[in-house]
Amino acid sequence: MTYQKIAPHETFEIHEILTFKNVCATKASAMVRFVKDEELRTLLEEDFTTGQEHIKELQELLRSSQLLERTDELTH
Amino acid sequence: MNYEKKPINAIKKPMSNDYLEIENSDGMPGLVDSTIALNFLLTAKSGIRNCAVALTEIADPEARTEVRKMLNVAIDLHAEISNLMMKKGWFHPYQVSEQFKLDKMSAQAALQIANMQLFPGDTSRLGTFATPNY
Repeated sequence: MTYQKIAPHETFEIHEILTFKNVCATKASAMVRFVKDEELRTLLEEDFTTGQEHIKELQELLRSSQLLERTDELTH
Repeated sequence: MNYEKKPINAIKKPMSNDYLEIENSDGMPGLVDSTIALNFLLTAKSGIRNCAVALTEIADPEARTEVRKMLNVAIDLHAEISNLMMKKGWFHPYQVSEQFKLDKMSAQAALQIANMQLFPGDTSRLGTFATPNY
């Protein structure tokens, strides 16, 4: 498959997942402090680390968005 | 830990407004853990839904595999959380009456907390002590 740009509507969806993942990671890191149960704590911590990986991947995807080109055209 | 065994979502007495009162913290570790677990479960659930909905809008193969992977991770996470909650007795999918009892207790706890005066008016000690810097 050749390199392809992400369409605008895909960009919105990915952005929405990204915001959701951001909230999840923030909440997980905040909640971990209050949890006494060991298993629940490890689950939350695992989710936090995988969430961060996902955030990086989503950011990478967003970088190949057509919308970025569009804004460049508009500003120049 | 023994708090896992008894029903935890209960706050027995009406809470007193004295925040330092040790009675208020009765059963707290279990209460906090089960509430956070429930919140975690609901978030995992909406994560699954979000990923599934997004997947129906995405055509790009790379983005597709990415989101699909996330969807699978979210489904596994949801299964793990619900298994944990069932094991701890925080969640009873097969005994509706048990679950209903637990939900009623949580609702009562929420109401009691809502009835507390969480933001008391003036707590300033200014004027009661010598405060030369003010």
